[in-house]
Amino acid sequence: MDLVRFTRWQRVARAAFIVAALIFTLLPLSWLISIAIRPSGTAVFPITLLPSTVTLDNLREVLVGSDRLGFTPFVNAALYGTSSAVITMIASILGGYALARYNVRAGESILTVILALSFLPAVSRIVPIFILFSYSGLYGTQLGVILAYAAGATPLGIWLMAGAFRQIPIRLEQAAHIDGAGVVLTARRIILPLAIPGILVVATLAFIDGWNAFSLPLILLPNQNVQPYTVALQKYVGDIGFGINWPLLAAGSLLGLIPVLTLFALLQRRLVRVGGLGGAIKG
Amino acid sequence: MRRKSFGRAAPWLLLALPLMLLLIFIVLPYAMTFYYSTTAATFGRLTDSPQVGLGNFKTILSSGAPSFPGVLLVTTIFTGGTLVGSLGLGTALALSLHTLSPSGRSILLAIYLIPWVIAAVVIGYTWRLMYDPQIGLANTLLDFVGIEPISWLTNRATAIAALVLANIWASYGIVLLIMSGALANVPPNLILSGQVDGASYARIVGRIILPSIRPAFLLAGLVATVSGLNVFDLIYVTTGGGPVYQTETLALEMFRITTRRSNIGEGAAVTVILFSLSLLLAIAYVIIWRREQRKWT
Repeated sequence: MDLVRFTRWQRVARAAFIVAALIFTLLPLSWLISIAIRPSGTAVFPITLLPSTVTLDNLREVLVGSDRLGFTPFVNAALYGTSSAVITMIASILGGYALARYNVRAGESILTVILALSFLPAVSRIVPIFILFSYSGLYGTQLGVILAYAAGATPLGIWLMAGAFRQIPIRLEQAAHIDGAGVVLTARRIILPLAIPGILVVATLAFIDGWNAFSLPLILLPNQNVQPYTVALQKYVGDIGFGINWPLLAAGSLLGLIPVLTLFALLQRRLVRVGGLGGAIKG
Repeated sequence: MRRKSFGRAAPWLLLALPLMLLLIFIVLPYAMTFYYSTTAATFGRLTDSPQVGLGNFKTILSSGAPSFPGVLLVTTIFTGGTLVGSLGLGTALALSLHTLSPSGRSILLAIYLIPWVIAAVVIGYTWRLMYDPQIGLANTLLDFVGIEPISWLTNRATAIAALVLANIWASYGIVLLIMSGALANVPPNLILSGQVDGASYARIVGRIILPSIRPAFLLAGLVATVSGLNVFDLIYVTTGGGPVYQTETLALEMFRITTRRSNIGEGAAVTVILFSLSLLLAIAYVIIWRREQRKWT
């Protein structure tokens, strides 16, 4: 039996709304792609809705041409995203397990504070991190950026991992203990394999955050050689409303989109399932 | 049974690394920011900078260009618009998908969530391209129906409206995700019983579905508000806060003062204001949430 019985008009209205929202979601991206694949001479006023010829020249120009960003900014972003994901993963597994399995008297309040930290807007951390790094010498270093990303992704990570560990029956660990397995063996053979779905989600969210980050590297990394693509893309933007190389900017943005969209397509079911809880906190 | 290895120290050994990371890179920076907001520190002079008490806050509140009430107004319109738009669109979509088959629902959900994983910078460039006076889709479509091109991002009213729309695009996915999760937990029998009693769909939504997902609605509202306050990348790469500070929010003012003017003291003071506003919102949320919980248990 259907959950709700609709009249024909209600069905039509629902379908129309769903389609309208699809158009709203996909139209801007389609336009970006359509500009990125036009020969650069044809991306001028008056512009046609559909490109007359399709070319990959802009993508090539961004990566290896004379006006290139090159591969370095994308490699940098991947390096920061991956390193931050690894650190976040380790910190979240340790913290999540401690809060899920031990009766720490302070555990409840620690969890509350961690939750509150994940609600703080990320933008309010830019200046504080800038101050700390200028003071401590981490300013301009890649290590600094990675640690700042990881710290930003860890509160949500701990929170998600605590939830994931609570779902693993404690009896499994007790059984292993009785069979004589030590802490390390139990962790490697029992706990971690069962927690892999949760670990994947935590690592993916941290990687996406790192790959997408803009404001922190913008303020922390003045050296062009270590900037991620998000900051390097500004090369194609001149002064406001004037002098933007749109075909190259669109192509560069597209290159930045492809990795996250691929990851999302591969893991969307898992991300959506925990996202209902966790993504909420991501803000 | 609790683990006996390492005894009572075990949880603290596990917590040491994550807590250190959070203390050094989140708590300590905020503490330093509160301290520096009362000094005249600059980028070149961080140590032994003179104390100025509340001087930085006074300077910001009385600044003429941009005026503080102006910045606060832009921030409020921007945050309010994002909240109403993404909460409305996200909730309406979640309700529409709720009555579809599970397979259709998950495919559509995945498509609607695409903006959620895209870098805010890329979202900014995408929408700046949409609004470009020459090759933007917005003016191209207007041209089709014979309307004169509009200079979207250089006029205060259209620029704010255009940016709010872009930010709704960026943030309705998270609302949809939270609301879908909540709707999946509404007992089907509750809805069926309403249907058996002959209630119309509108009545079922208003009297049964929405009341049972109120906590999620509040959570989504807080998340949408924070993501409105949080926006920096999007505005930075579209208008940069211009023309003449007309689209400058608190976050942009904080960044501009800190970097372009190297004024750490004043930048820290704006950060403290932004931080306190967010904290107030979070506390208000916790209070409302507690009250809701009491109502339902």
